[in-house]
Amino acid sequence: MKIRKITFAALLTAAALGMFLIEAQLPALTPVPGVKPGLSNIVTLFCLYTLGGRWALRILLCRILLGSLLTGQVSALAYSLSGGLAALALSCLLRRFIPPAQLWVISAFSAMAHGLGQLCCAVLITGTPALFAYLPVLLLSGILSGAFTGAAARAVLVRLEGRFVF
Amino acid sequence: MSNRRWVLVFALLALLCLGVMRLQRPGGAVGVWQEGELICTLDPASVREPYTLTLSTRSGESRIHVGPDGVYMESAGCRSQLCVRHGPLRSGGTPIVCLPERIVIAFTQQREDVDAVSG
Repeated sequence: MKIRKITFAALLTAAALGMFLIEAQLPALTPVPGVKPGLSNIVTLFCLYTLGGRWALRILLCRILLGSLLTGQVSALAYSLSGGLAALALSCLLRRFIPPAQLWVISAFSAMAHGLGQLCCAVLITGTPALFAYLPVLLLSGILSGAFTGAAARAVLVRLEGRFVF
Repeated sequence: MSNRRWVLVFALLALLCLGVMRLQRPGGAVGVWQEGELICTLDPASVREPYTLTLSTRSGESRIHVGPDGVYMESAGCRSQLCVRHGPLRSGGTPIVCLPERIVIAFTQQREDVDAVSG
């Protein structure tokens, strides 16, 4: 059982990493740092509902560490970690109150938390509170990208329902 | 809560964000921060001849254009070049930020301590 779980988690990590690397190669949608589709979040949400919060955290950490090393953007590690951890923490919390059918809602809120986490990290690192001017832009993009990735994760969960019981 | 209500909640949040973005009208002097330190304050309105401010950074140098047409990042050593793509700093717009080089160009509230080189 444990080996099946680890193998499945490794598969999800590879999928998340693949999505992250493909997304990193695409040109940025806007000149605003932090605004991106966040496709690898689909895997994090899928993992949260199939393996649980602890495994989702492990996969998230592996994806962030390996993603930073493979893209050569080690300086972005702190931003990815702060955003990713804030998003996952909120997802775990909201999961208790919002049904899985409304995963897009959880995802939209967690994407907003991701933006906020990254922004706080950027303010701390650069020591420039003026960066909070980015907050409305990041929240707005978080609603759009989060709703999309949440709907995508829900579609995958419905499609594969019952196939991954551990 | 139904999906329709959630859509309404997010639509209101989005409108609020758009409203806040429109309300941000600092204008005035422009500050340049590097590694968390305010290294200079500029007043683009008083600049007649454009000039370039060169900053030594982690991966070489970043060049900031200062002129009557605005303040913008001319070139940067970072990989993403998002700061260069940002274009000129606009009143009501977002600050120019280069996270890898830890440079921020934003409007400041105080206009008194402007130490710009006016052309």
